[in-house]
Amino acid sequence: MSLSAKKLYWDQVLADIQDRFGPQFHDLAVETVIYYLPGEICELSSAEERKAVIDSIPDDCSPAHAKQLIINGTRVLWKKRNVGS
Amino acid sequence: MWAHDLALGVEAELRVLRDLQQRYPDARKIYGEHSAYDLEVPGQFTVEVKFDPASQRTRNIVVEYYHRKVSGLHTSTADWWVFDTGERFIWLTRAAVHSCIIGEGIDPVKIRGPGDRHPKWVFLVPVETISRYSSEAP
Repeated sequence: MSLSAKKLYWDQVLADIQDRFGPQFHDLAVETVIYYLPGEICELSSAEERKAVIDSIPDDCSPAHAKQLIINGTRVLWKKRNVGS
Repeated sequence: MWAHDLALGVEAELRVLRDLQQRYPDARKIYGEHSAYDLEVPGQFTVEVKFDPASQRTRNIVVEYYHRKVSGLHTSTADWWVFDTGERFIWLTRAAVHSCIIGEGIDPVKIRGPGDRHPKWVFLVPVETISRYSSEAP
């Protein structure tokens, strides 16, 4: 799932999951990849890129809480990585 | 085993409920196997209760999110989560649970609990770690 997160953009992440896993694992993969996306987003060098990736996540995507979780997670990681730097 | 675990879970919910009712007399338990939370203070907030006495031995809190289907952290809509270790309650907002998992870089693992027919996907979060993200009980 962590490799799928490297695709960053939501439709590409989902496509990678479809390519990489059998149908019986798709739900599990989507439920899991959302925990890896914040780390990948924080690696991006510009605010525009980070915003574009987050904007690629539909507000009504499944799982329902995914977008807010990814936004919050990105903020947490960003703050943590930039403390003291 | 399942019925026993269920009974222990209900007892934990009632312990938390009694604690809550000291501050919110109208706090109540929600009944139903598929409810999105365990307790509520009507009009104020909702609570998910997880009883994890094994954490005293393993020093990890189990946060489940997938058990043959979406479950636990990903189905509960509760505002607050409280982990009952058997020794103490650890209160966190739902957002704090997510922040802890992502902020600490905790990877999911597949486990099969003693009473589980099927494996489940969980985060094993050290008690000390999750405690850093905890709050005073509401």
